[in-house]
Amino acid sequence: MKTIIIFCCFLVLCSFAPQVEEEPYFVKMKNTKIASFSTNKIDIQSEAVFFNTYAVGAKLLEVNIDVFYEDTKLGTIIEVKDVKIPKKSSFDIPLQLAIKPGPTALKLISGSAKLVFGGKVKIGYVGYVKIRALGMIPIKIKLDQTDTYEWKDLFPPSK
Amino acid sequence: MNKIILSILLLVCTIFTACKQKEEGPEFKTVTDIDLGNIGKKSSKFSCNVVFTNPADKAKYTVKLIMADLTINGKDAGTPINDKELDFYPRSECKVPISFQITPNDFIGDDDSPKSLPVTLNGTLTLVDEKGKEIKVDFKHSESVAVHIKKEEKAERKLNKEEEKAEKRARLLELKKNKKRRIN
Repeated sequence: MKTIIIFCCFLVLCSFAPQVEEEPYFVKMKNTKIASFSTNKIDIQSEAVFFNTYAVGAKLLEVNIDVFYEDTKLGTIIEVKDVKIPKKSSFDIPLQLAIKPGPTALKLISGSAKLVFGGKVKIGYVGYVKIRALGMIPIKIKLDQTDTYEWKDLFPPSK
Repeated sequence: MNKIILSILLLVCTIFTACKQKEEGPEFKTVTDIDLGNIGKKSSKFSCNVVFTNPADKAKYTVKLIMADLTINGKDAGTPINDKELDFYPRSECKVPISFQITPNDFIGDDDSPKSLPVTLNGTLTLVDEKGKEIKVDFKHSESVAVHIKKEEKAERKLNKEEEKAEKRARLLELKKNKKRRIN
């Protein structure tokens, strides 16, 4: 009799247990642009869009994203900004990379020339961000996206 | 004889091409019920319905995801996403709801109380047909949306009530004066 009661209690508890939710995922990169371009420094700005599938808000803990120009690694973004991650909603993480065009100068200059003459260049983002939802263990959201850009995308007219 | 065969062949060809008309896929129609929420607050809820039509006679689809870049007053306000599955039946319309928390301070400029704001949605609807083939429908919609600020509405209502009360008081006073005159 006791075992039956215990088993019933176990079943009831199981029915109350939270459902396994889909994990948050990377959606796309947007607003990629070159904020400033000089011989000593190039600022690349972008926003990574993610979707928080959890029914609770979350906090951004870590960013580790490598930025590639064509196949050359330009640098790694590790700066963690204060980002509001609402429940069951998408959220944008602003990314910024300041690079000194020393070793990659030639490639960047040739790329700029390509852009001027109507060509396209590839910029890739590979890495992950780590977030922690309320009462849960931190989770890594991987991203691996390469997009092609034209001059008007990277140097949008200022509004 | 040859002419007859040729004409028959031509006829058959035209019949076949006429019958093999491609079934049209889902199309974007419009965006309805755009609401910016109470933009007088720190954060407000943007919501709208994106309407698509399925002109096909037989093809049924399942809406998998809708994603759009939201621009309000020329500024990026976020990327609303809805990944709830919806059935999209043949010869029908499908309203896909979108809602998103926005921060009004990010896109309201110097004009603190604008009467309307230009809203642009530029996105993609992802559907799956019965064979499991993924289909993407791009859409873009721009509209000037009337703005509601609840604080202002409340203040207006309060003022109206106070005015009504003052009028009532004035009427009562007049009635009392008239009564006194009659008695005198």
